[in-house]
Amino acid sequence: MQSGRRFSCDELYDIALQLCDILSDLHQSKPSVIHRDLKPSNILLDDAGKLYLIDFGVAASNINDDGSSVSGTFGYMPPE
Amino acid sequence: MGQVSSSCDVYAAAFCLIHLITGVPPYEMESHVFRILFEEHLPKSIPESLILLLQATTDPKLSLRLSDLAEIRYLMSEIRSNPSQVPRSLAKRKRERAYQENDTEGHSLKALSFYDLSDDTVAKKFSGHEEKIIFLALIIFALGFILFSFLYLLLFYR
Repeated sequence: MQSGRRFSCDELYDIALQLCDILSDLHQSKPSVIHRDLKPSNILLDDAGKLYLIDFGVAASNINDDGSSVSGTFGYMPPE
Repeated sequence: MGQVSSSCDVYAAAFCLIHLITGVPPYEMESHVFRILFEEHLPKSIPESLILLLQATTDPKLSLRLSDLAEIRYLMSEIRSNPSQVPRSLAKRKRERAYQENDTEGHSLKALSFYDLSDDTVAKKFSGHEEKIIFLALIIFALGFILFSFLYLLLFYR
């Protein structure tokens, strides 16, 4: 996905909807999984336009985590 | 700080999408009070409704951020089928955010004007005080000079 080219609006909707599906599956699974390090280099896109998420190295499996450690990639990380 | 919730992933995902359409990574964009100003990098072809959705999902305030994935999915498919129409919930969100931003700006403006006023009055008071001190010093100096010369004359011509 990190090919350096700009994606068009139509491609974006496809990717966004797939991302929504993947994330909602992850968050609703028991125990829920939070990726915590989403960025374009961690998202794979195959020729058929199918999306794969990789690198669950810092993923949290518990929402009640105290979250004392800050993880993620600067810029893709929310301020909290 | 340090709260982990599903909205973290939503925020990151939204910035992934922004990176994809703009071609500019978010850490190279300008930011203002935690809000990354991605709007200026977006190409013209992006409909307003999509920009609003991206703004709603990347709100730096956790309480204002849209983080329900089912809702985001629904809004995304709505926008895809009809890009020119802004979904009602997004328009409402925009108004709320604008209201909040105006409110904080108003407060800061009020605070600023209050500060200016108080600063001004302090300056006026200070200047009045200073004038008095200079006047008193002059009188004391003049009195001292007269006294000194009087004594000198007395001593000299005795």
